[in-house]
Amino acid sequence: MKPIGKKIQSLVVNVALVALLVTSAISIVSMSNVRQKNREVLITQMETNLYNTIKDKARFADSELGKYTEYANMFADYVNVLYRNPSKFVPNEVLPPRRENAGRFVMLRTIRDEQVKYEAIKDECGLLGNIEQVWIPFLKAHSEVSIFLATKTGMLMTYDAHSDIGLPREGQSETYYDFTGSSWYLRCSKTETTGFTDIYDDHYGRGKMITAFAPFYDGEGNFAGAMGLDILITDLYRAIVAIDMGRGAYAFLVDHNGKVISSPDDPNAEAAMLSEDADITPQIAQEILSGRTSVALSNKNMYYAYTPIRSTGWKLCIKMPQNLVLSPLSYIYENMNTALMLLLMSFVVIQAAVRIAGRKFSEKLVAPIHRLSQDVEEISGGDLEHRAEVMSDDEIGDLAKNFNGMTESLRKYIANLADVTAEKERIGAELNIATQIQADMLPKIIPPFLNHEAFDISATMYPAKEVGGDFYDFFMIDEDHLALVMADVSGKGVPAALFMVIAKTLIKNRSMMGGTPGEILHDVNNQLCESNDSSLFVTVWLGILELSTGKVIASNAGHEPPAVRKAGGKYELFETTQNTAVAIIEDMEFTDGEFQLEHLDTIYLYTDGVTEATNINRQLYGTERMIDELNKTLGAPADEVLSIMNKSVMDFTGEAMQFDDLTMLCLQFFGRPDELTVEAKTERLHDVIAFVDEYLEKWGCPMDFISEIELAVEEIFVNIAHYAYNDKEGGGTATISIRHLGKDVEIIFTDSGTPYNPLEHDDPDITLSAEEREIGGLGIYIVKQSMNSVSYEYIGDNNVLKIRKDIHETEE
Amino acid sequence: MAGNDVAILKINKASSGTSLTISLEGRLDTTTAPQLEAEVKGGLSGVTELVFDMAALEFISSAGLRVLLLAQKAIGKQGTMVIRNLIPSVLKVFDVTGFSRILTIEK
Repeated sequence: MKPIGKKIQSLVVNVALVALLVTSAISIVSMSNVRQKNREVLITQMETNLYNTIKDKARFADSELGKYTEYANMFADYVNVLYRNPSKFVPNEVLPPRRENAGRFVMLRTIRDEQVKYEAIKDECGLLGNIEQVWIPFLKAHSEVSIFLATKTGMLMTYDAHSDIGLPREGQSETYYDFTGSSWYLRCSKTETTGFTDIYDDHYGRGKMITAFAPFYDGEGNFAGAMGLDILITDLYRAIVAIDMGRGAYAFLVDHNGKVISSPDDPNAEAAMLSEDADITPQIAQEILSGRTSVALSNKNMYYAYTPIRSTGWKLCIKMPQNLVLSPLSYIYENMNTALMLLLMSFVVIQAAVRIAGRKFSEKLVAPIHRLSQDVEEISGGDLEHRAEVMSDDEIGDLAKNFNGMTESLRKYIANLADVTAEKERIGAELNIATQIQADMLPKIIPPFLNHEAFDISATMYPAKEVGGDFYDFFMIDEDHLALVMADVSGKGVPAALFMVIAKTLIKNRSMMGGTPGEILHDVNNQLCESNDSSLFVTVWLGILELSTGKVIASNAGHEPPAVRKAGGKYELFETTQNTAVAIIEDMEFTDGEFQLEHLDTIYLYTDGVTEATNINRQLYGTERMIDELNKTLGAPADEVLSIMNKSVMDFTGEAMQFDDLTMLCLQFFGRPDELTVEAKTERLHDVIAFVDEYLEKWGCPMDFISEIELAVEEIFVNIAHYAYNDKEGGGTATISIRHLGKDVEIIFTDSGTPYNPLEHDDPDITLSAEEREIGGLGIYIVKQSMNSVSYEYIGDNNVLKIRKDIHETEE
Repeated sequence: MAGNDVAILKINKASSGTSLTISLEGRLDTTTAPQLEAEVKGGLSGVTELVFDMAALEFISSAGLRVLLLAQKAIGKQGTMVIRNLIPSVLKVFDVTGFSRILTIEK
């Protein structure tokens, strides 16, 4: 047995478990989906972002750098104007650096070398000094740059606050610096185009820088010099390259030679080659240098976004570790793991909680049931005084209350039942006795009178209830008169049975006093009416058969007419005048009817239990069916007729209940046998044979049967003639009687001679040879062999030898 | 046997050398058996082959059987005895009594 508590507990735990598992599974799946999606989205987003950033940066760098070249151009144009129109400008003398000017922005001149004489270029210098007017406002707006120009004639002109750095050497009036070796001048004079130098170290030690340059031309349009703008890399970087894309991500420039121009940590650090970057792959480096714009991931999980800067031909790159891109993802991972952990922990906690709560709940739920079970066990053990404890105000409480109610009812019922049972048993026992008495009252078979073999009688009754109202009776009134009674008391049960006993007794007693059936019923009717307070009545068929003549006088008091079969014919209802049933009206006259029974005629008496037997389809058995069935019994002895009829009725009703008593009586009349009494002498043998033959032929017996009977009759009669009266003077007589008994022929030999039982004689030994054989005893032996039965009795000084043989056995 | 006619047994004898054929007709019972007994007792000297033709014999009782047994015992010393042409009801008496085994019956 698995207790309910355990079932509930495991149910609750299982439900909670399943719910948790499902929730967890969904969460985990969702989370990993989100994770995957996030990763993809992040990467895509980042790549797009990088791509856009690099392009924006490059555009910005281009425009910023472009500004510097534009400025250079603008100044160069101004110088061109100066050259073309020297007469229009007042010379503005530009001095060499002087100590007192340190810290002040002033125009300064520096001479290429001592080969160049200031005097020779003094006019040009004064002319170009006018650029001061343009430079001053520019520099106020752009403090990050230094501006200068250098002429082919060998003069370098600047505007700055560093006069103390480039002071003329001792003894010299001019500061010399050969700018012609500088990359900006070299490239500008060579290409005569606007452009940028590569990175170089500032000779003033300000750090790494680049220079934007632009050429200018003299009045004839010949190259006259170069205008330059110095830009410190740090400034440049800060202005156009620097990015803030997170830790580990930085931007850098790559110049024509594949040198990395800037680095985040120290823009002035020694430039490294791009190919020396440990994180890059040769393909990506190649891509970068070839001027493509793209975003690529190196095999070191490093993103490179790159694009060319048109104005300088450099490449702008952003380098960014992938994990930086995915760092939001790892944050999500962490959160997810935390969530999973929490889920797991809550899982464990909830399961434990549910287990405990489930057990508590089921214990609480089961406790009253358990208690009730114990109580009920006690009650079912026989203690009907015990009451179940009502523990809870719910269905179980109700159950306990109901149990108590049931127990109380049971207790009362059992107390009651004991009385009722005792009473019922008593009544039942009495009823059984009544049934037994009633059954015993009906005659079994054959009253003991000498000539009782004048008829074959059988009767049966199957009561519907324990005691019924039907009865039959047959009894000898005197030696020659047999009374037959078939009756049915109205009603059923004990009253009917008691009435039946009275009626039966009165009829028999009155019959024994003589008179016709009508007279008998008249008296019985009056007697029954006297004391019939319960208004019961009885239908009676009463017949008296005179055995010697076969005459029947019958009176029918409201009963079913008997079926009578004349020998060789068929059964027919035999109606006599109908009288009122007995015990209804006092002083009624009961008329008699009369009919003749011949040898082998049969009479069948019954009650309405036969004709009104009903099957499950509510069909009646009926008189017609009864007659038809009776006609199937022709030739059968009385008891067989009844058993056939009984079976027929039972088969008809089938499973339907038997409503009425089933009572039948059948009598086959043989009458008194015919007799021949002759002298016991062999001379009378042929008379005896002739007497026997007459009947055998009348009954239609076959020739072989007749032969065998003749042989037996001869052997027995000759035996009597030879031996019966040997010691008696004058001899004696023998009486031979013959009759048809059912299927048999019966012949009785009676003589009053010496008592002798021939059947006691030993049978002859028929195995002996002819010489050894003796002739004595052979006759009786033949009789025994050929007859169905041979019997001997010594009755009243007479030897009575009886033989019987079945007529139809020989035929077969 | 209809009526009260007295039972009749007719006995015909046909002799040929030592052979004697006795034909019986009617009933061989207690009343007629003595006739046949007389014939048998007086007429068997010198007979070595005795034949009873019973084709017309309707009935036989133990008295008749007794005569046939006597004849068998008488002829047993000097010759043979044969019974012929028994009708079924008569043959049945021979069978019941065991006579069909001790006498020579020809169908």
